[in-house]
Parts: sequence; C-alpha cells; structure tokens
Amino acid sequence: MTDIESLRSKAKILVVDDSDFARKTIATQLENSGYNVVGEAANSRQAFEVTSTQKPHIALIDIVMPDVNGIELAKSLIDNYDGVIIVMMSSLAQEHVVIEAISSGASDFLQKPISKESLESTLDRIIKSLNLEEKS
Amino acid sequence: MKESNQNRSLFYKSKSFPHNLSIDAQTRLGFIELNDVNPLSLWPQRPSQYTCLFSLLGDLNGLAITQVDIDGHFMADIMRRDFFIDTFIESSNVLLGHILTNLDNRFSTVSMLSSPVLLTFENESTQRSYKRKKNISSLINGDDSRIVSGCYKFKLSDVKMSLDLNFSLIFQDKKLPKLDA
Repeated sequence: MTDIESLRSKAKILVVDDSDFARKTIATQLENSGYNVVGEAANSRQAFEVTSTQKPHIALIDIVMPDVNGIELAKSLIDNYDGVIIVMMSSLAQEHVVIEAISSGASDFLQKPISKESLESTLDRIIKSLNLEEKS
Repeated sequence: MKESNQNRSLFYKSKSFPHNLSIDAQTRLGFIELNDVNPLSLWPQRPSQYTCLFSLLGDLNGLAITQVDIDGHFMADIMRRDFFIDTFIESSNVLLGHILTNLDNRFSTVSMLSSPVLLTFENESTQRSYKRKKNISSLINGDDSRIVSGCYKFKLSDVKMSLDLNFSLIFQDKKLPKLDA
C-alpha cells in the first residue's frame, strides 16, 4: 500500500447532499478510490448524527439543500466539532457563492459536476495536511 | 429600435446555455436546437411526465422549470425509474447552476437557486398549490419577464429534457445589455 493509499484509508469522510444520486455517486467514487467514507447524510440532522458518532475528518457538503443550507451547516459543524474540515460543493460557482462558502469556514469549493481528478486532488491535499500517520 | 423579447431570449441562451455537460460521469446532457417551449406545457400532462421547479432568488428573480418524459421507459421497474428521476433532478440542478453562473459572470448579476420541487401527474394538489403560489401565468405574460428556453437530451437514453428560465426583474430596459455586447 502506497503512502497516499494508506492515508486515504485513514481519513474519515462524510458526504452531505440531499440528492440521493449525487450523494451515492460521490460516495461510491470515493470508496472505489480507497477513501474511507464513514457516512452519508441527506440533511443537516443526519449530518450532525453521523458527525457525533463517526467524528469525520472531512465533510463534503452541498450548498443548496431544503432545510438548512450547506453554508449554515458548515458553520454549525465547525462551531461544534473542532478540527472538521469542510469542502463545499455546488452547481453554482459565482464569485459571491464561492466567497460565502469560504467565509463560512470551508477550506475548498468544488463546482458540480465534480470530476474524479479534482475531487481526489482536493481530498489528497487535505488528507496530507492532517498528519494522520503521526496520530495513528 | 427596441430589441424584441425573442431576440433577447436567444441572446441570453447563446451566452449562458452549456452545450455539453457530463453529470458525474453517469450521463451527459447535450443541447439540442428546438423551438422555444411554452412553460405551461412543461406542467405534467400525463403519468410519464415529471416536472422540476426551482425558484430563482436574487437579481434573477423568477422560476425555472425542467421536465422529462420517460415515455414508457422504466414504468415497470420502479427502482430504475426512481434512479432515473433522481438523475434528472440532479442534472437539472447542475444545468441550472451552470446557466446561472454563466449569466451572473456575464451580466454582473447575483442570483441563487432554491432546492428543487418535483411535480408529478398524480400530485395534482401540489401542482395547483404551486401554480397559485408562483403565479405562473403572470410570470409568463408579464411585461418584465424574459423567457429563455432550450432542450437537452440525455445521451443515456432517448428521453428529452427541456428547460425554461423566467427572468422577471434584472433585465429591465435600463439594465439590459446590448445584444452585440
């Protein structure tokens, strides 16, 4: 197992999207590439449930969701779970949307549809910064 | 000379509609040239039709409607049908997101998109409620509205997708960009 494969298997990832299609597509894609998806959530309530039990290192969050939007959810997760890293996703990628996402505390922003390459390069960069080897 | 709404619509369409969009490597939306679609015709008229409504918030205040007609496909296979409809909803979301991003970047507008609401032929009460709430007729016929429509085809199958955007506020004459911009 290479270094990056080892890191991918250690970093715990949560995928939050109200679209079953988008959520399962992303989760499956991540699992096929060796990432450790610890949970999926279709809304903010499920996202908090998974976060409280699984303590993910990274949360991939869609911005447009029906109850609490992704921006508000990101702020709440950051406030309540120290160290969780947020990657926001949206089909909208205007300057004001990206700025709002980053201002909420997200470390990265990905426009849908998300290519495998951009998803993996973003996650690998974050995972390398987590110092998971030292913690394990 | 005052530019016609039809010319404006064609201009916005040419500047904002993506021609090819791969959706999470699952399907591909390809733009096809068809005559403009009346938004009211996108309301579900039969059980095989599914309509998705999005509210546009901000400068591009209005309503976006997309519809797919599965036309006999998957009718007996509920799981495949549900997966297809879910793909359609997410594809609509991605498509609209790209259109709004292109428009905002082009015209310095600020807009957002609501979560989608799925309408089916069976949920007539929801349809009626949305028709009232959104006041579709006045949006379509209103003097300040701009209808842009287009059609997309799923490469995955022969099911078509059509889309209407209804711009109601921002493109009033004083803010309207010249068509040759």
